[in-house]
Amino acid sequence: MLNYHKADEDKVWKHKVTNTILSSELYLGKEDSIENYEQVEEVLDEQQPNDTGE
Amino acid sequence: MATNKWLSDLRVLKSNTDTLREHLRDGNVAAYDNDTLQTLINKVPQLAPIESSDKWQPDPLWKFPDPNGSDELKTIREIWDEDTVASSYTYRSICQIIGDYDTIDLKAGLGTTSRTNADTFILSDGTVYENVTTNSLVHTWDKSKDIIDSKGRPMRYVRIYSNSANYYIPHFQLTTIWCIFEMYKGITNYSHNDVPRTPCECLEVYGLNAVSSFAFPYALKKLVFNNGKFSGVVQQQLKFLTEAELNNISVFNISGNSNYGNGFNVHLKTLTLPSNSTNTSFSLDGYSLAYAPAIDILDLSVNTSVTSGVTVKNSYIKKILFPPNATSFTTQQLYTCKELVLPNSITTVSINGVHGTKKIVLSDNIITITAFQTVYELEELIIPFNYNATGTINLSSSTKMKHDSLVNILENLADLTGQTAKTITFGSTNLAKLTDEEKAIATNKNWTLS
Repeated sequence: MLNYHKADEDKVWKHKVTNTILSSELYLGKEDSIENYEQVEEVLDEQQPNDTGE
Repeated sequence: MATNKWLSDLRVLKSNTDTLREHLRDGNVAAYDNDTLQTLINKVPQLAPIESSDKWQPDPLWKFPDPNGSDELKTIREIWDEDTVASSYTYRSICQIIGDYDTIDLKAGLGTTSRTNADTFILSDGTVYENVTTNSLVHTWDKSKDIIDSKGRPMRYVRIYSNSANYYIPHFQLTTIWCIFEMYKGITNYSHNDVPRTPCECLEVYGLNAVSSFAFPYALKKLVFNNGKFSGVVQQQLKFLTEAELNNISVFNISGNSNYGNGFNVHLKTLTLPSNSTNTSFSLDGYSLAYAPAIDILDLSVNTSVTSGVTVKNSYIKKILFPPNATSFTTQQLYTCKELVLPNSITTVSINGVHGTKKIVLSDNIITITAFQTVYELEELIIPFNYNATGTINLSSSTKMKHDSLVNILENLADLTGQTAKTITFGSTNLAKLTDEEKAIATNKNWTLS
């Protein structure tokens, strides 16, 4: 039985200890707890090229 | 019999269709499994034209009578390789020059006003000057011995021999088109300001220990450096370089944005760094290559001195051959590299903002994922069996991941039962490709799947 959690709209899960940003869906490991996670605003975190050439 | 013939033809047709489909895909043209042979043929014009070799080649008519007396015509490279005079001297060089002038001051070509060492000169018109100790030696060319190349230009050469180290490169600055030097073994901190300028196309330097500056090679297409501290490069003047072999260099300055827009080596296709005696890391920041076709192949495959990090950023590089001892790999804004296969020496990776890469193979010894995200075109990721690295792989942006690869990742995760759970992020699109049973492969091993 999967332990599934869906984040609220426009939010994703974040691990409270590692601060790892995850997706909006969570299938918990068998010994993991939802208490280890919190919902945060979704952000785009790709580092963009420096197109100024500086 | 007729049925067998049909079956045989169908097999051939299918084979041809499959081959063409793969060829189109390799050329980044969308080719689908349900495309017919005819629709695939219709897509062929979308393929980029095949580029001709970018290796520098001498003009086919740059060939001189063999100084060793055979009937064959020889390039200066062949004359250099078959030189029977070299054993009598410590230092030598050969310069092919354009026959624009009636005379040449051979000593002035050595780049100094005080050259009293005994130098020997052998010229393509058959003249030999031995042990010349004067500061100046003006020779009048026998133009009837010039060869004519395919562009109608007269060509000659000068061979220089010496037993004393020459602190100046024999450059014959305004006329040299191809030169091979070995004149300064062991010299450090050499200033290379007076290398041959226009129209020099090929410069091969052996035995050099250091280059502190490197100026004015306006037309250079091929550069070979064997040994050297390669720094202070006047980058914007290497506009036409297509091929560079930099052996045993201790400093390599190809990064930096100071010449933004001018495009260091805007045509450079192949960069080979076979060995690097002191640097333990390598960094290539594509901004120095910005807005240019840039390098196709970065070949560090036999470079054993890079024992720490390899960094490739902002690059349109198509293929990276990793040094076998590198322990980390960092990439960001990598645009056209289809495949990254990390050697087992690499324990740490940071991959962020990768476009065009369809397959990544992590090393068997991966320990740390500093970043693994926004790999947009990824279809296949191979992680080692019993994968237990710190850090999180995030495939949310990798929406083209194949189902089988996703399952393979789940199967290779280590069993963390009794340990702190770890996370791996597939993203909603990829999660939708999996059944609950497949997701449970991860969760039953105490991995949280996101």
